[in-house]
Amino acid sequence: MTTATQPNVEQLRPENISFNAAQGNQRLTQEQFASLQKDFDDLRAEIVADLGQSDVDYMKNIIRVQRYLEIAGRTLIHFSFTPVPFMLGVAALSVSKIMDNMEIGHNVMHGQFDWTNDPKLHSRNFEWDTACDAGSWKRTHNYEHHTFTNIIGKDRDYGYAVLRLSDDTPWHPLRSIQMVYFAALSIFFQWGVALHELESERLRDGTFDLEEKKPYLKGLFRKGAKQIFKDYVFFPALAGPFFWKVMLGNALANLGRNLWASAIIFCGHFTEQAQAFTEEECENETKGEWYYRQLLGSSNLEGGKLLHIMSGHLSYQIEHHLFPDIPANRYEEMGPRVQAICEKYGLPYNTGPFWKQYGTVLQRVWKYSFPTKAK
Amino acid sequence: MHSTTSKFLKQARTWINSSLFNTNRAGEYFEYLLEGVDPMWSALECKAKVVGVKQETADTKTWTLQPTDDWQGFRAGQHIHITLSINGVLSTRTFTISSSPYQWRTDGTLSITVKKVPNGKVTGWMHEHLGTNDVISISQAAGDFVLEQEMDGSVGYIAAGSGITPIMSQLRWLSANQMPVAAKLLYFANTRQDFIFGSEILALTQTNQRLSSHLIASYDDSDSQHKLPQAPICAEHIAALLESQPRNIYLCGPHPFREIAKSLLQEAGFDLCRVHEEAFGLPPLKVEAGAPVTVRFTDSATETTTDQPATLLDMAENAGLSPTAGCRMGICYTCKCKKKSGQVRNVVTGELSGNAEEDIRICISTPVSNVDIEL
Repeated sequence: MTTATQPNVEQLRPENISFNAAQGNQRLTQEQFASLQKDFDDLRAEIVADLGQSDVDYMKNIIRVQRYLEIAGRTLIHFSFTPVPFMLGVAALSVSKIMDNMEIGHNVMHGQFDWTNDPKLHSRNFEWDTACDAGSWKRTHNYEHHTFTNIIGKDRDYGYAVLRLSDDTPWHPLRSIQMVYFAALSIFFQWGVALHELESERLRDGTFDLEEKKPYLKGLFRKGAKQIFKDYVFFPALAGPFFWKVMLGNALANLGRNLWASAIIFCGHFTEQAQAFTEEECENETKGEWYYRQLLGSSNLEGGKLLHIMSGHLSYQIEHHLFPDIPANRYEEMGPRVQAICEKYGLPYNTGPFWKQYGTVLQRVWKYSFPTKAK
Repeated sequence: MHSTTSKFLKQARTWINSSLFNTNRAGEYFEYLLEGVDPMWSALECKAKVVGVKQETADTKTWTLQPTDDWQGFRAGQHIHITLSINGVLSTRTFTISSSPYQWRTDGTLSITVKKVPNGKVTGWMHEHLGTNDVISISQAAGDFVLEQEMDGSVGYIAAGSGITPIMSQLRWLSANQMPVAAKLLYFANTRQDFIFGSEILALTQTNQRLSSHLIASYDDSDSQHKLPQAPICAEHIAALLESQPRNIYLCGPHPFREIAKSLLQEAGFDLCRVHEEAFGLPPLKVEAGAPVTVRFTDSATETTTDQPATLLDMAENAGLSPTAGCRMGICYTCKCKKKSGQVRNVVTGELSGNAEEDIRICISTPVSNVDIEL
């Protein structure tokens, strides 16, 4: 492993950036796949049997911290007259939105806490503080992305239909400025996520027409309007003459959340080592092969407790993709065991520090802006 | 005009709540914060603290509860749902109140008396763990198993086992009010030791001339080898009860016991319209062997096919889903889901549904055709 150094200009030439298939990528035998499946199933069963009060207490505490931060953030933004308390308010509100989206919303909507039978923690009822409504998220993320992870053409999260991230996607002149799309997607991430289900690329190529998207669009406008009302009408209006100050504070808080959430999510599947798959490879795949694809298509981030919580434990993207409905606070203890299973089968366990992983994401977006020769 | 305005205001409030708090009920946003400060605080439900526990018989205990001020009281014979957290899993069960409304008026407490069900998850946990100072959630009291407001004529009671609890509430209340009407009780239990409140009933009978009781034990000891398949209620018992010419009869016990008692009452010429019943649990599910039916849980992309359908709740759980559910007997509506198509039978009333889209309670619905349900 190289340490995270600034890449020099020479290295940044697209032809010099290589995304080798990750080491140890020879497919396993059917017996090995069956045994891999058993190992992961056993690990899963062991953790599920141990779920209990402490997991609920953990999530309730996270929710309490998020609520206190949101209340503190909005109060500070409202009453601040100098930059320091204002920015503190922005930070608190931004962190509360990050916690709501990542550690609470994303995890609860995966059904990680459905077993508690608590309607407030149930995936069916949960709604979050972002433009994408919960129903649309569960369709595009829980179903499409988690089922067809990194299958080009089926997992629409792979490049979000605006980024070309591998040779499997044909190059197009518009791809040459995809760094700009990447930046825009990061800045307006919550709206990008909300618009994801529109499948604009499939509208353009005529796979279906706008009429079929009507129920989705209704949900999009309903939820989007509520978010705009909250952050850009209601709380600013409460401040009367300081309307614009509060509006700015809320916009900055949303921006902070958008940048962070997008960075974490891109690190999950677009890093140097994360692999993509074709539909043919994945036809009739067994559960063992599904585990294998989840494992190879995801990458982790190394860091402390704070990084894990602020990333919604997506720093354990591998564990999350293997076991999306296990409470995320368990991924930390599962990590070493997953790593041991990887070693047993000679499979890579992709992990690295945040900046290094994010660096490889930027490199990948940059590299595939340019046409590549077919191999 | 007025109703249109109030409907509009209600919709506006729901919309504002959902935009500010991401939930239609603002209380849900604050619930865990309140609970974190004081477990008795809640914006959503009544809480109650256990202030006393008493062993009644070998397998029956009474818990005395002190509810918060928003609990509105009850009429003798009514029941409450209690919700408790068993290792992080919320479970709701329904229990009749055994104490008199008089006790609630004097010291603000109520009591529930609960028999430990063999292998019962909730009652077993209560017997082992629920102790003084623990806090549980309780619903407002409900139920029609109550004395008429204008009492004329005497009352007859038939109880079996723990079916005595709502009747005990009424006896205590009648006694505290110097027996405004005469009452006669038939109480069946397996052995002498199994009479819950046995000595109190005898004491009440001695002090109140207008109250008579007949405690009938089926066996001299608890030797289960000699247990008969049905309760030993017979025509002589009924004849003795009817001698006092009761205006109304209150019947509470297990389902088979109640069926026998009712048929005996009918044979003796008593009008069944004047029999009040309190059901404990669901009647045994009639399995009708027929063509296999397929239930599709559309939100989870899961389906199950069987020719011996259970309740939809059981079927969902057996398919590995965790729908929210409460009382599991059709009372609390926690498990309400949208049926998109297909026909179901209500296992309590036997009523058949239409084929159209409608909300159903999955705990008391069993499919009679292929069913699509939003779960």
